[in-house]
Amino acid sequence: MENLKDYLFTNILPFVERPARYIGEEFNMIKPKENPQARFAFLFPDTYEIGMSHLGMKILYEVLNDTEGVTCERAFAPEEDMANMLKEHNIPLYTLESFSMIKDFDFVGVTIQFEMCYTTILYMLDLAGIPFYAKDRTKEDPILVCGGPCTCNPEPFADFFDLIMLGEGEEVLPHLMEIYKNSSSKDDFLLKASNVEGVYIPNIDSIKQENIEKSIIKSMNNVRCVEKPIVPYVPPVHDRLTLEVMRGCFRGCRFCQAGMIYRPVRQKSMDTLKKQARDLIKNTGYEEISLSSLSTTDHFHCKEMIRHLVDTYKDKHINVSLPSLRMDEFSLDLIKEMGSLKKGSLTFAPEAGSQRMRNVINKNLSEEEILSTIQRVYNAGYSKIKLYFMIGLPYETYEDIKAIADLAGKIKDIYYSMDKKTRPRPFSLTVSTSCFVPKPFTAFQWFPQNTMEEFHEKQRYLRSIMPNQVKYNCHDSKLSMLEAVFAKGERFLSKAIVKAYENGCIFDSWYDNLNYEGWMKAFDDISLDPIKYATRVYSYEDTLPWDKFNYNIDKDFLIKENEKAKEEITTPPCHEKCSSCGISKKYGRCKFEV
Amino acid sequence: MKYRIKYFKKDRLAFISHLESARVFERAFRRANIELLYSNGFNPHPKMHFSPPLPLFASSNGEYMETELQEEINSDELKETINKALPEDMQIIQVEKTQEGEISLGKSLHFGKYKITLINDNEINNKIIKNLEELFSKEEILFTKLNKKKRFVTKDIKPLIFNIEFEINCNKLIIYANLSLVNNEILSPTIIVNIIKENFKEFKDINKVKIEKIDTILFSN
Repeated sequence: MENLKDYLFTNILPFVERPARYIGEEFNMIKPKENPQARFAFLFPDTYEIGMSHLGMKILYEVLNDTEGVTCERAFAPEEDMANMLKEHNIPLYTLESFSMIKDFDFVGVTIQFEMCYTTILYMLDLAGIPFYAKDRTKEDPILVCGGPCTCNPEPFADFFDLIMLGEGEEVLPHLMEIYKNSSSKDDFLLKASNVEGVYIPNIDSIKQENIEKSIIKSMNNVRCVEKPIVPYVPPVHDRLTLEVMRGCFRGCRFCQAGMIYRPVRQKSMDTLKKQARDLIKNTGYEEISLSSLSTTDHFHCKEMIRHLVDTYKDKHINVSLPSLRMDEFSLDLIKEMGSLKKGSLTFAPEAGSQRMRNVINKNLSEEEILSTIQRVYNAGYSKIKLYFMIGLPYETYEDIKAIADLAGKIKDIYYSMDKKTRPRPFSLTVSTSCFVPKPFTAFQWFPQNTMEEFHEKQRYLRSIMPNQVKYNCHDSKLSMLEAVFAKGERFLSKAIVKAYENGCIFDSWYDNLNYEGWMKAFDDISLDPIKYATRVYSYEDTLPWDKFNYNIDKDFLIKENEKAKEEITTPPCHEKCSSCGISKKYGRCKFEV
Repeated sequence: MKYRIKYFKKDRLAFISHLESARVFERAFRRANIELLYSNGFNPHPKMHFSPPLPLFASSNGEYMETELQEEINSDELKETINKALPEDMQIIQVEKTQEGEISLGKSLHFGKYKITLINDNEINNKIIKNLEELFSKEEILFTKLNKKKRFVTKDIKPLIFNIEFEINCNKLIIYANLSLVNNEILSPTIIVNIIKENFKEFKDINKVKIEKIDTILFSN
């Protein structure tokens, strides 16, 4: 809409913060097709800087725009100053590609990356002029669809969406677009779609689905990948190329949902990776490429890949980075390969302070490995270290909490026992603890979350015994409590989300933005005690709210893992020894590389 | 090999910052496979120098930047190749190879030609042009502002205004001004706007201001 563009440029954009986020026209932005059969508006439920860091959106943007007759445009959550301007000037939320009204699109898709984005979704729907509940929408309104990791338990937000996609969407979405082109009406489309693997239709009474299985991409070497990602002007949080090296994770850490719901592990081959890296760099001109996955250093050819990238692109001043590092010898060697001149801080996630606790959560990492890694890190010239831990883990005792402080103390000792003249400066050790949230489809899904009081006590205790000079950051347990409510939540919670939004809650996941009172009032309005709800206990015999969603992980396997956790017995990673989690029943014996 | 590049930046790209524009160029060079020379040291960065930053949200039909390339390349080829790698709203107008010993870009800048538009809610009385011309033809035009050390500094900006003309079109006051870009004597068009707002109660609360740089003029060789 040309007129809207001019109007925005003169009357609105000069008066808001960082207006370049609302203008589009970035390099590699796709021009919308003329007269498409399906128009898809992709909404990311957070600001531009956060959304443009997200890989999943980039993949689906290209996949959809590549589909014949389909055009996909983007919208991000405007900051409040911009939202107020839009409301003041009666301008509904628009897409960046063509300044078109979102409510005029055929589809509105949302990616649900984390629990606390729900009110932001409503905020965007409100700005767009689209009714929240699926039951309130007519055939004039767009069809609302969603996907992303949180769809493994979509019940808390199911009332808002017409169609929910479980699992990986690269192949399902274009398939759904084909069905749409051949459907006579919205209801006809939803009925046809309900037969597609991975599709959940939550709001049509006549469509009853029992065992909804996730969809996956069988081979990462045979699937459409991002080729020309948009290069934003306004730097996103992660301002670099993301090259996904594999899906799934071998480790089987018992607290980790992603490790379970993204099985089986599927790696990309060296040839695929080399080609994709080459194309991505050529098409974007980025100065940094990050090899992303749940556990990149586990990729069979990780070292080779890094060596290849460094050798090929060092002269072009393109840096290679890894999003996270395991605390083992292998990872340290990789840092040397990457030969980073900048000595920033290194982040590691031991997750638990005591060996006992690490065994409980199946984080196969010994104290010896941790300390020798730290020594090597210091020897390599890095002086700033960040360590992530969780508190509130199952079967945890105060001894285990103390072990976090003890570990920090041992690291400090290592530093100060080094030669004063040669050790790297300055000493900087940050310990960060988050509050554990039990998640569906993990061995700990039956476990109740610690109460906020328990979290506060543990945080207070840890702060009091943390050695001098070690910085301690702890996450506010209020947000974690809310996450726990929704992670294991049920259908009725949608009412609380709407009430919370009406109470002014948005951008909840930004720590300093959390409107806790707004949320508590919302829960009160639906007569729910959220703390009781977050700390409720389930037994193995109970039917869980997410049991009807099938991620091909046997419940018996999870029960066995939980029992092993109680005995502090570890389970080896898949590629060392298969533990029959159930995934091979559907997809055959795991081959890891296809 | 050093190259002096003239480019425009308009429309949507008027909203991106100076730093963001520099990064656009850096990435465009990489996309085009033309290797920039990098500085040495701990944190190498590409050798690119830009003319001073534009005022916030201003568009420009003539900005300069100077860069050093690893290899020699024909000027027209450089222009064509980079333009393919640049967005539509930011394109190279002309490329010149700079000779050895030529003065640097910073020292070559003379003045900027600006078109400043103040959009009022109501029609503006034509008589105001006379008063504006009077104000700007005084021998001295003092302007006070906070300097970097947070002290108030008063400066006579008259010598930095090389030319200034006014026009009224209905509810718009249009100012054509040639303002100094000489090193250490740079006058920003926003100061002209502030002076007008300070001295004319009609414009005191005006907030719709559009600044377009028509061209950057260098000292002729």
